[in-house]
Amino acid sequence: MPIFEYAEAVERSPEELVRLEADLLGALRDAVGERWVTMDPLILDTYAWQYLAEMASGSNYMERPLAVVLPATTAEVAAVVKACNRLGCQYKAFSTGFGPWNGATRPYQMVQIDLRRMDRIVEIDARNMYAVVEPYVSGNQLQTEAMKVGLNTHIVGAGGQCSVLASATSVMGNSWDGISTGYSGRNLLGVEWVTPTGEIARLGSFEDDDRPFCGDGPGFSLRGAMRGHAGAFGGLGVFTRCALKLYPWHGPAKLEVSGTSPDYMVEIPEHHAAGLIVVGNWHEMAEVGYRLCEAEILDLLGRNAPALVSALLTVDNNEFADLYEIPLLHEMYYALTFIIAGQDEEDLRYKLETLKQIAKEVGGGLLLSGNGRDKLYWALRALRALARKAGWKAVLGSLPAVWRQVLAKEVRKHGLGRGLDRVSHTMYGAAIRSGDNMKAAFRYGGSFHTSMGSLASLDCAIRGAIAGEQIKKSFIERGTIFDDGCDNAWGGVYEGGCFAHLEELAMYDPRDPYCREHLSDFIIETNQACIEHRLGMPINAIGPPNHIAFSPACMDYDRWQREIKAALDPANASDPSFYTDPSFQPGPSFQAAMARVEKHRAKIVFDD
Amino acid sequence: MPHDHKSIEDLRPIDSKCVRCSLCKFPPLVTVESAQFSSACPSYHEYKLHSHSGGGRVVMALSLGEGRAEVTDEARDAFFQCTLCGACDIACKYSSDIEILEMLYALRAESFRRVGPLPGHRRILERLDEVGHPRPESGRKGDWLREMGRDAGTEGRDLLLYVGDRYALLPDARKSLENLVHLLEAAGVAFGALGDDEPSTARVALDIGDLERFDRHAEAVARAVRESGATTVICIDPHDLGAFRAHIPKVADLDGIRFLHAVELLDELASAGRLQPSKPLRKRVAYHDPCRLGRLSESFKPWNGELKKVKGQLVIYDPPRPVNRGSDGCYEPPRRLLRTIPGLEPVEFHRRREGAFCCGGGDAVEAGGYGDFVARTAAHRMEEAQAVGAELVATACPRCESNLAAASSGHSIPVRNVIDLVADSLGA
Repeated sequence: MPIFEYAEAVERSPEELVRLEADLLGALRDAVGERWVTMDPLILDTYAWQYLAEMASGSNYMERPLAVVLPATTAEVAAVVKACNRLGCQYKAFSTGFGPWNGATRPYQMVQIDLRRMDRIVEIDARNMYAVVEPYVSGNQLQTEAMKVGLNTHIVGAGGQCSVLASATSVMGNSWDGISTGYSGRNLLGVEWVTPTGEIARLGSFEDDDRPFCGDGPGFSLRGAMRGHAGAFGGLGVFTRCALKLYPWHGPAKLEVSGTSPDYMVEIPEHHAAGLIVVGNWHEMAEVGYRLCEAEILDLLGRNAPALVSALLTVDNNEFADLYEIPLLHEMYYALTFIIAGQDEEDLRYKLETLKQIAKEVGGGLLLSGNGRDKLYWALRALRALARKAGWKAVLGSLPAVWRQVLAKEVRKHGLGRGLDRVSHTMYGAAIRSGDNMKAAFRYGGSFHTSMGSLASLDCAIRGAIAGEQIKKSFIERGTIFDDGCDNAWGGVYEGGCFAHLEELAMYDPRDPYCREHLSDFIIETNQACIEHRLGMPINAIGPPNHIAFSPACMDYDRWQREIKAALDPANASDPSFYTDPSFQPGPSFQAAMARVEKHRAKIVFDD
Repeated sequence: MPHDHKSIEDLRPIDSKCVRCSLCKFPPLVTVESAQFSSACPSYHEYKLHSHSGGGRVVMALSLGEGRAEVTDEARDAFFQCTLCGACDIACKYSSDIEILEMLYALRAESFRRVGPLPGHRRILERLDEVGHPRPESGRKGDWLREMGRDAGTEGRDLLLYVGDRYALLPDARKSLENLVHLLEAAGVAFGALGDDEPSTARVALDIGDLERFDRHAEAVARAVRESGATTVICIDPHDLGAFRAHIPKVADLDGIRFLHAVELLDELASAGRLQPSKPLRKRVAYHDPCRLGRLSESFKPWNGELKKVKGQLVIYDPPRPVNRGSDGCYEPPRRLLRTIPGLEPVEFHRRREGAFCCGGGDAVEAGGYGDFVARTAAHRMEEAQAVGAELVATACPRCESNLAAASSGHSIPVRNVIDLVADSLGA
């Protein structure tokens, strides 16, 4: 369903377009040099092709930009932005560029600013625990270098290949490591910002003495205006440098990895532990989550539903389809992945004992890494927790298949101890390095979308998961979404449990015309549920189509976004399409989707 | 035999799943050890445009197939400013199963069909037609036999030594060939060789996009190999090994014949005690995994099944589709061989095995006019060698050896072929 059907091309005659292209080419070459500008159509198409483009434009492609330009410095970025303002065209900048908000949204109108050349980790200040980065520094790269000095960084759910600056300044920031590494927007310190008109602003302490250790002063704090809850998704200029909080890493400078792709074994370091906490229902999951956060013993706490866990254990979809038939794996709903990075043996022992005490008090069990003597006891408790929902017949009946399809080959390859631990090693590597996220979400049908996921209390996040599951059922029945058992809520807690998020994943085939047309219905319905049942601002409450519904329910925030946009970007040069746009009117496709949603709406029941 | 080269449209159902996640630009993330050395794709590392990544080229192919644009000079440069190292393909297949490398070949074939070859490529193809191989050097492919006082011939020999164009004709590469012959003879291995009658695999024609010429040469070399009666073929040049395992079977029948690289045979001989290096070499050595001996040395696995959906939107293959993920590349044999040399202290590149960074590529890249790209790519790899503390780089590919050696002058790190190091240690 094309959301941007309203985004008409600016009226230009063919002669005007030719003149614009010539003027633009000259201006951009003046700004960055001839080598770093292209207007070749095939090359431009590689910038138009985007994940979720089918939701925004109706095809795999966003609009083809007028040109792609690659600046190397902030001054060059500013020159490009000024040129766009002067020539009356718009621009969309991106760092690593994953998602439709990175693409052009209007035909014959936009310049794509690719920040690839700005790829430096400028500084890691280990003592003060922050890093200064340019746009094309990925979470994986920053983490790799930070670990060498005993620090770690927050890496978003989209994966370690994504830009840390982009997430911190412009796009959400959710992940499963948040209990110890926060949320992207809240890790942001000083920022260097090319405003929509091409001025260069430095925010926070950056402005005062050139050190960016504080985002809020001395000097201006424009955190709420420039970033707010979700970021402007490229609608408020270009961010060219920022400082980010780093967090303690009590682990080795480099993780030991063996094996060959795709079958890597990540060694769980000394004094670390990983595994699953398994309980019997949502209530127990909330209880164990809160208690673990209060205890301050974990470095990662994230929820992965059965489909996701199974996906991580398999190489391809054929293998996954076989594995997912095993009832035990299919029913492991109320499980939380955890990681403890102990400072030393005593610290680890304390944290593990605390974990066990909490698990016991809540009636749950544990699948633990390592060779602890009580490992089997805790595993049996985990099976008991599973049996409360699935029944003992399903649980015990699954064990031979689990052995045959999961564990036996690992034991043959790695020996008994490490073989049985394979699940823990896999989850550890996936969680710490965030390199498996594509496998977990995209491989099933080729793409995925997400819903719910408000940043709210853990209880509220769970209510969102309950609502999302019920809504998703009918979309599965209609063949729009992969049947992952309805509940595939993924997320974690942040800042020691201050808030949490659970987003309901929806996997689909982007090549399927039916999916392309109807998947947005699922997003619309889940968003509406968030308003109706007071579940907070979901992860999809971005862009003009959603402000229509959410702004009146949330203190009319879009009014202020529009004023900020008008004040900072009078020429509307910075693409407003995923930020705020007063000209948005729901087009026929959007209205048709709304009508379908009304017709098929699920009645949501909470068993409070 | 009908060929099994896939076209853009053949690959569209699988490759249109690309979501532009950019994982094709990095080694599998869990293996990254250094931000400075975290690029997988030499082309994207050099040219920076998304079009110059594996995913970018997939999109260019799909766009071309849909008629959204035509092949311009700039676009064609984008196609060929690529070493076909396959790092993108392997990186993507850690999580997915998109056939990036196959699409890169399909894109080149389509470009060749529409606009013909680059000028430098045209000269290679003309040479291929003139003398049966693409090398500019004069001489005949059997000269090495004559100079060593050996005869061509394959009768009664189970093992055929396939020398390849580069080793047969390039004076700089001849030493490694001679060393190999001495090592095999020292180990009591009898082998045959085709000499002047050895057809070229014409691998470079495939890289240029000229399927018709490649297929013609593939059929000829397959016929020569079958008629030799050999059950095992030893290649010294990984480009030929890759051709025999991964590409020629799409065109011609090579069933029942085993293809090995020389280091794999030498490793077997050393493990059996038939080669015992003794002269020490006290150096920290980093082994550079050649793309075509490592991640790209897996065999072609035909599949002509269907995509099916189960559970609504779960896409599976019927029958299951075998996917080459670089898992079974030749990584350990050269490393084991190096460990037999007393005094060598192995160190590893940050990017190694299936994640190894390319040396800068084969003949098609240089001939396409992108020599600077080749040189800078090799220089980056040698910076990595210096960063990991290597005093010596060992490899098992003539192109890697040549590219890295040319870049090593700034680092004083010599680059040697594994075969030569073993031979030196044996006093061969």
